[in-house]
Formats: sequence, structure tokens, C-alpha cells
Amino acid sequence: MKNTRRDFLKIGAAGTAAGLVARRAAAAIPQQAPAADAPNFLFINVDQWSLDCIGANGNPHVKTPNVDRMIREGLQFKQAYTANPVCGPARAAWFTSRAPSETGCLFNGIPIGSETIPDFGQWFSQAGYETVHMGKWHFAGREQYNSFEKVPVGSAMGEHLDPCVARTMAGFMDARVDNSRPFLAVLGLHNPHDCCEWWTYNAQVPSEFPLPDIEADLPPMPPNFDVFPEPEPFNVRKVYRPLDRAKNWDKQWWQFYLWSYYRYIEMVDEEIGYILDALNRSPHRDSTLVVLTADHGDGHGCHTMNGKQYLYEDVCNVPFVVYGPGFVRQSGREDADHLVSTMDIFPTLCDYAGIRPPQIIRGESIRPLIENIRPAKWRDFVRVETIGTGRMVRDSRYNFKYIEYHGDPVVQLFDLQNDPWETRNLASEPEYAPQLKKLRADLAAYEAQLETAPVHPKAQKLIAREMSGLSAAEDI
Amino acid sequence: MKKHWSQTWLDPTWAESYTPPPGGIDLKHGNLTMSWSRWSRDPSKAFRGNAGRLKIKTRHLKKGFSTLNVDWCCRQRTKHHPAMDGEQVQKAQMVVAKDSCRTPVGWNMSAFATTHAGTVLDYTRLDESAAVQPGRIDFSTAGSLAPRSVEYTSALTTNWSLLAALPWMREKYKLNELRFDLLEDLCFLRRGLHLTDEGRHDFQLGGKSVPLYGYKMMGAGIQPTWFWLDEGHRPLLMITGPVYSLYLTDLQQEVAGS
Repeated sequence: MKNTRRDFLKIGAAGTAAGLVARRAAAAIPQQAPAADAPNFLFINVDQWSLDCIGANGNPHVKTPNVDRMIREGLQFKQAYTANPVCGPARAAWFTSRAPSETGCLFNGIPIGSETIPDFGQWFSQAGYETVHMGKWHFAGREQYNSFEKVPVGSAMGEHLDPCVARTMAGFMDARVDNSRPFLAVLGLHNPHDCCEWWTYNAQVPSEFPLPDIEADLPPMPPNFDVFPEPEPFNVRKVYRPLDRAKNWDKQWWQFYLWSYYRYIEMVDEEIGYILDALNRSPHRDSTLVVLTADHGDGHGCHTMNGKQYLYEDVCNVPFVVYGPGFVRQSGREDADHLVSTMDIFPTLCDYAGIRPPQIIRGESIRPLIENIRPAKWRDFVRVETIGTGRMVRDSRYNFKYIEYHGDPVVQLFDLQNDPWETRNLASEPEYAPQLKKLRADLAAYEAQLETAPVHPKAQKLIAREMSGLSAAEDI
Repeated sequence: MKKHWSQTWLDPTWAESYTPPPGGIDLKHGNLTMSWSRWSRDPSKAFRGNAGRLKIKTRHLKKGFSTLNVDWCCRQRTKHHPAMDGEQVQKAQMVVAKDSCRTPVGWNMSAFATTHAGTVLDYTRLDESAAVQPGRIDFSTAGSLAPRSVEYTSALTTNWSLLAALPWMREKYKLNELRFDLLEDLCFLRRGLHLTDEGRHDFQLGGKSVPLYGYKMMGAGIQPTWFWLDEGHRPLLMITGPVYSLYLTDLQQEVAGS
């Protein structure tokens, strides 16, 4: 006799998923079955996409009709922040809803310090969801096939991987006949991260511009391209900005880099459109909540920087779009008031599924915001950390932002309301002392509650390397 | 002769070791089977090496049409666990017009993922057919997805059609510039692309200087892409960005049935 979806949900973790539990990590995961009308989830994550590099956000130099459509028909959070502007730690944080200093994933390749911190692949698998992971994972110390039930597509660079992920997802939608369980599909698209390989192989500027036919159409650099908000912390001045990859670039080569970055964005935008098109043609259209975000942005020339790892807005403030005709109330809204973290994804999915979230999480469900119910209380600051030493706090009420690195007397304060491109460091100006004090207090209060993991010896080495003025890794 | 800039996007170690297969194409006869491998130049070395393979078999039909049988396979890796590595496979049977774009008329395509052992993961299977109308492509699948239509606005080609057309581009079509929308892998529409003649340049391949004739493709949603053909009209190289390139590994030609 075939189980109905309701039957399956009754048995929940005890049934089909039992075999999975046995080979999963040692995380003790008390579970409950999802609600009978629990929705499907499609979590699309892209890599290294900055918020201002989307057509719908006013950038005329990049064509993103598919994400534009998601924004038009869904809900965009404009104040969304990654937990850490580096791939691995950012991913560990969204999968666990814990701060990077708690997971111990402080940098790429630094493994999670605890088997008992659950990730949402494990959590939903054991709740009875059909869990699928395709594409980029990059969560050191934990393997996707131990967290997700199905892993049909592994990893590669974006140009090669992303079409495979998109096609495989379309196949998954087309072939799905057993609807007795809701699904959670996580699609790790790699682009526009291929820009990292672009700069590696284009470090040298040729004597003649190689593509004269686009020379007149190269995009302008961001308004803060050659503005340094001084004083800047040691890591920014000595480690992140002067990376070898860009030290010989002239302005035109920077523009060529930006032009190429935009083409990578367009590439992945088309693949996102293909995935959404498959969803919208499937029987799951109205029962699937889609979340799109990025692990971090790219410097794309802001403050003469590319890559990520530092704490300026271009890499920390990420795209975050929720889409789904059955879920978003008043589509086409833009929420620029509420601070959102990528650590909010896990509790949000739990909220919709009717599953208890883990006992300790740092995110909050954004379901009220999606349903346009103004919550009585919402966080008034968000914190981002990087490589164990740098931290920023962004305040929602006054739009101030504070940045500090352990042991560095140089700190930064920005008034994002009046200076969104972070051109003027106000930290030493006496009239801003109250804001500085408040944000420092917010940071201290937040960090006091964190259950920080021991710093892995590999991370200690990387931190020491940065403190001496060397990059932790060129290829991140 | 000055080194063409696209060579900076080729892996020098690969270029040093690459020897093109022997032979050339007789343009009077069209039935070809061409095979390429995709080389990945990932700087982290995690994904460096052969990342996939492509085979296109062209057979001429009457009344100005051809069939293209395409096998395309992309390999991915699941780090730390080689046994989990898998492939994403596409097999397509296309009918194309015998014009400069090898304009697609219709096709059947199957796509699926496999395990490292080659077992097909049925839950990923997409069987799709498509018919091209003026300005529109109509798709339908064998499964639960509703039919879809995609509009295109200029000439239409695919990445596979172009590779099949390239050997005739210089001699027969006297290409100066070709503008088209390109349906990549029969899935992703890259709009408003153009292909231009890049002229002759010498490449260092397998320790020798080899004269190659190039075409450059540009437009939204792609990196600058170069197709390089040798004097025997064979598409030896397709450089699609700083990381990936396709290189010809085998070519068979039937002289009958042209």
C-alpha cells in the first residue's frame, strides 16, 4: 500500500529516514514531523554576488531579467547580511544558524568544531523531508551526503557546474512522482565566483587592450573606486587591498574586470531563470517557498578592492529574495527596514514546516516579514565577522556601522544613511562618540552570548599570517 | 606574429602537451564525427584536468537539413570523497538547417545525472523535445512539467550547432559577422550574441607553432569565447573563459553521403 503524504509525515523520523539517521553525524536531534501542509523549499545560493550588481537594484550595466522578476514577483530584503564574507564560514553559518566563531569554521577549509551542531540538511532529513543538495557545498568538516539524502551533483567552477545544477533540478521537478513527502532542495550555484579565476589569470595587463570592440562600453567603476575611508584598519591596508592579483591593474583593467564580473552574473541569472521556469511549470509551484541569497559579494572595485573577506558593504550586504506565489504577501515589496541575516534561513524554514528549530540558533524566522506582518520587536543590529579577528555591527535605526579588528587601534564608523558607499570614517569625530559607544556595546552584548568554539590550529596560523600583513589565502 | 591574447587563457602545461589528432576535413563531404574534451584550469587544483567530453555526429539529410547527434558529459566532484563524483549527461538528437547557424529545427534531448559508477539517477531525468517556430521555441517534457515556449529575437543557433557549422564558415559562408541568439546546451538562451572573424594567429601547441584561424563570440551572459580552427578546417579549440576550454580529441569523416 502506498503511503500518503500525511501517513509519511506521521511516521516522520522513525520511518524512511531511520537509515539515514544511523549514518549521520552524532548530532542528537530531537525531532518532530512537519505539519501536514508543510511546504517544499528551494534554497538557491549564489556565490560572490553583490547587492548593487542587479538590474532591478538600479544597475544598468548588467542584465538580470530573472532575478529582477523574482524581485518583482517576490520580496527583496535590502538590508540582508552574510554572517561572514568568505565562502566556507558563510555556508556553515547559514546551514547551522550559528555564528562562525561558534561553528569554528573561521575560513575556507577550517572544519566545523562540533558534531553536535545540527545543520538544516540533517534537521529536515530527520524530520522526514526529501532532502536534495546539488552543486557547491564548501562546508568543511561535514559532507553533503551525510546531511542530505540525495546529492546528484557535486562541485566545479560556475561555468561548468551551474548549467548541470539547473538541468538536474529541472529533471528532479519533471521526474518527481512520489509526492508523499515535501522536499528541501538546496542548489549551490557557483557563479559569479568565476571572477576569482578571472583575476588569477588576468593579473598582468597587456600593452594593448585585447578587446577593442568593448573598450568604449566598459562600465564605470563604483563611486568609491578610488576613495579610501581613512584611517583604515591594518588588514584592509596591508592584507586585503594590495593583493598581488590586482597590484598592476590600471583603471581600464579594473573596468574590464567589472565588465567580466557582470557577464558572470548574467550567466548565472539565466540559469536561475531556467530553474524558476521549471518550478513554475511543475505541480509544486504554489507549494514551494524559494529563497535566493549569496554567501557574500565581491569588492567589484569599491575602495579599489576585489574579492571578499573584509567588512565593507560591497561584500557583506548580500542579495536576499523570497519568492513563491503562495507565500509572499503583497509581491513586489522591498523591505529596506529590517535587518536580515543569512542565519535566518534555518529558523524560517522550520517555521514554515512546523518543525521546532534547534535549541541554540542565532537567526530568527523572517516569516512575519514575508507575510507583511510587522513584528512587534525585531533585531536592531546585525553582526558580521571575518577570519576570527574582524567584526562589524550594523545598526538598523540610525544606519550606522562599526568595524573593528582584534588588536588594531584603528576602528571605523560609517553613517550609511548619508554615506552608503562608505567614504568617510567618522570614528574619530567627537560628535559621533555616542554612536560609536552604542555599537561597541551592542557588539559586546552579542558576543557575550556566543558559545565560541576553540580556534582550530589551522585558523590560528591563518590569523597570525594576516597579523603579519600576509593574505590568509589568495584563492578564497 | 604576435601572440593572440586568448592564449593567456589557455593552460600552458596543457598546451605544451596537446597534440591535435591527425587529419583534416574535406569540405565537400559533410558526415563528420568530432569529439572534444573539456579542460579545466582551476587554480586551486581541486578541479584541474579533464572535466567533460563532447561528441557531435553530423549526418546530412536531403533538402538542406542535417542531423546532429550530441553526447555531452560534465564531470563534477564531491570533495574528499572521490566515490561520490558523478557526471551530468546530455544526449540530444537534433535536426538543423544546413545554413551558417546550423539553425535548429527541432530535437529530442535527455539529461540525467549519474553516479561515479555510471548508474543513472532516475530522479534527475529530464526527457524533453522541442520544435522551433519563427521567433519561438516550444518545449515539452515526458514528465510532469507543463510545456513552455521561449521567444528569440534574431537568428537562432546553439553552441553545438556552431561547432558543427564552423568548418564551413570561412570557405562557404564567407563570414564577416554573424548575429544570433544562442541556446546553450538546448537549455539557456544567451541573447544578442555575435560572431566575428578573428583572423590567423600562431599558437604554441605540443611544442610546435600551429597556425589557427579564429572566430570570436561576444555578448551578454557569456565570457568572450574564441573558436580556433586549423588549416584542415577542424575546430581544434574553443576557449570559453580563463578556466575552461574544449579541445579536439578525435575526428572521423565519411566521404560517402555528403
